Amino acid sequence: MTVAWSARIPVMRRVRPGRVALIAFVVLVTVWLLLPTLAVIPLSFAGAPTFRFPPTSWSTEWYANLVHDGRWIRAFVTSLIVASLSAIVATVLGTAAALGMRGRFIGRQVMFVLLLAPMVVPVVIFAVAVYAVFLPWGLTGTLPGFVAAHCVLGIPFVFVTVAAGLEGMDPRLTDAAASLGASPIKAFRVITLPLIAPSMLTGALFAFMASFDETVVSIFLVTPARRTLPVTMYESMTREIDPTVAAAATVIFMGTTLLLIIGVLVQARRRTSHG
Amino acid sequence: MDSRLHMGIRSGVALELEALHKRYGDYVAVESVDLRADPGEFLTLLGPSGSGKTTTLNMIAGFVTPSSGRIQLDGGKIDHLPPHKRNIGMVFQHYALFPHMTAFENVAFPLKQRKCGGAEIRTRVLEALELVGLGDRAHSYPRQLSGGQQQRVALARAIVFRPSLLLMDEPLGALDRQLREHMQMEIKRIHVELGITFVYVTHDQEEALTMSDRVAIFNNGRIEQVGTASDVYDRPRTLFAAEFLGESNSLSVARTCQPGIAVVAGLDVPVRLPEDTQMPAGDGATVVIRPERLRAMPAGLERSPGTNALRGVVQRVVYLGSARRVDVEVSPWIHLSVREQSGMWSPVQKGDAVDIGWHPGDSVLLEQRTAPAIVTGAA
Ligand SMILES: Nc1ncnc2c1ncn2[C@@H]1O[C@H](COP(=O)(O)OP(=O)(O)OP(=O)(O)O)[C@@H](O)[C@H]1O
Ligand SMILES: [Mg+2]
Repeated sequence: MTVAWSARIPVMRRVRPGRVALIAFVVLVTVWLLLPTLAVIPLSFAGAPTFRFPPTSWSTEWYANLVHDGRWIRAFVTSLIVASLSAIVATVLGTAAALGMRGRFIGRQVMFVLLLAPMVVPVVIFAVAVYAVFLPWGLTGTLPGFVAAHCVLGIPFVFVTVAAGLEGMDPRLTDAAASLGASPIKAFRVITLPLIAPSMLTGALFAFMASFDETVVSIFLVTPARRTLPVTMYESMTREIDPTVAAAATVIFMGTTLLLIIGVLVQARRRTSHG
Repeated sequence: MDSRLHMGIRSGVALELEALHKRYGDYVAVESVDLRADPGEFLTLLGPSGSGKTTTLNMIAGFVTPSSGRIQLDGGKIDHLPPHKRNIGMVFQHYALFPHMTAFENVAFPLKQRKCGGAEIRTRVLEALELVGLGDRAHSYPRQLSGGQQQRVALARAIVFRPSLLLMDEPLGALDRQLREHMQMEIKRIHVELGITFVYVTHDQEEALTMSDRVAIFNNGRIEQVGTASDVYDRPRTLFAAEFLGESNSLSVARTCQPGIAVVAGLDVPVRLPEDTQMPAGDGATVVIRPERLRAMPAGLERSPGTNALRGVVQRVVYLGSARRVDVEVSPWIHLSVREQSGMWSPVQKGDAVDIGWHPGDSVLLEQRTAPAIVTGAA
């Protein structure tokens, strides 16, 4: 599932006819984008093991299935661990990159393109490359392997949000801290870090989600013993026709929506408090 | 150096810059700057945009490493010290207050770095905020304060740890005129009260003249002249200094025939100079006179002996509020401006023939030729 990550809430002041039309159009597009995703919710409550839409009878059987089937639980836990670790690594590396990219230096443009490359390079190509490199090193199917591959996909998100956060910070604040007696490390800890923390948190959320719903790279890396949730869902869809996958999708949908809302709220709060 | 008249306990230290250079690639931002600030002195770096004032200040504070040269504080070298170990206070142009901390926390910051106790921090912070008149806004965040109030917090933060040197980079640049003038007085008051050495950067010449013990005039990364306000205003040593500080009239000199006399180019009129004037060895020279030192009077009137006089025609009279400016054409390429305080206006009007007179002691001879553009127009 894909969710637009740069969701912005428009601020409305006075309602004019043009605005009404615009709002109507936005609602239409939103519905069109969301409806297929939302269809999964009634499916997950279907009474029969089919994907007929709309369902003719109802049950919570598939949710029970989800909880009792160890396969789903294991996949969910694996995904959660992989996504959390990837988010942490991506946040550290992405923040470091954003800090390092401040100021002017030779090769900055090239570095910029390289840092954003994971967003642009087709995922399949990235997946094949990762597989080719990881296989001889025995990294496929391992936790470090998943984290290493997924954090690369998360870094651009962190880099972009933290760079934007740094942009809004007066570059002389750290000079001020130094003139007042704070060592560079201290100045980073008590001035820079608190000021970019909201950006880092937002970036971390995006990195988490980038890993959590990542399917293509994971398909190349999974082993029977270690599967992520999206891969399990994909396999469940291709092998057995069973609405359990709809139940899983609904749970993930709710989870990610919640995370997104938190992210947007954090951003909005940051804008009003330091704007 | 002679105007250290004000009282107050001197806790400031001497600052010495020796042959300071800063190059960025091929570009020279600061070139052989030699400068000394005496303990407790208010020294101002004055110069146009890009003249190297901030770069010099940043080298003193330690944010910029000099390409060569030495910086001494209280007789000891500080070149090797990182900024956080120099114990120099600094007020930045855009305040640089920490947005996530209240006024109190901002001012407490330097004391926390110095591991002061909680009770001591409290009293000293409130004392500093009191000194800048913000005792009641201790718990406001910077965004809740006006520009002037933010600047006061920045000032309190820079002095609360009792540095012996305070650097200020255009601290009033972002304030409106009235607030500026008020803050100028406040800063002077704090300077007298604390007795620490101030190095103040501005490109506002009026601010420099009214606030400083001494002014260093910067141009293209070099110091043109250092001296008291009246030194640099009344006895400029370079054309740049003369023209940057207020308005000035420049007369290009054709030759200097005998001691104390210069002949104005294109007029063949001799001009008397102050008696102690060193006559130039080379041939390019310029006589500079401030507009307020000139007197305009109807042509042909008796004039007192020993004064200088040039005849011309009034081209324009500009009303300035507290004064008026009379622009006179002496010849097609020589124009002079006369400034008359209100209440002391001469009875001349546009189109009148006038004699412009001035006391020889009010002319300054500079060993520099004016650029053609400057000959024709006194700002
Ligand atoms: N990091 C840098 N890299 C390259 N050139 C620089 C750098 N910092 C300053 N300069 C140049 O050095 C010169 C002096 O700059 P500086 O900031 O000291 O001027 P200033 O006198 O403070 O001017 P202003 O009144 O505009 O603040 C300028 O021409 C500037 O472009
Ligand atoms: Mg500057």
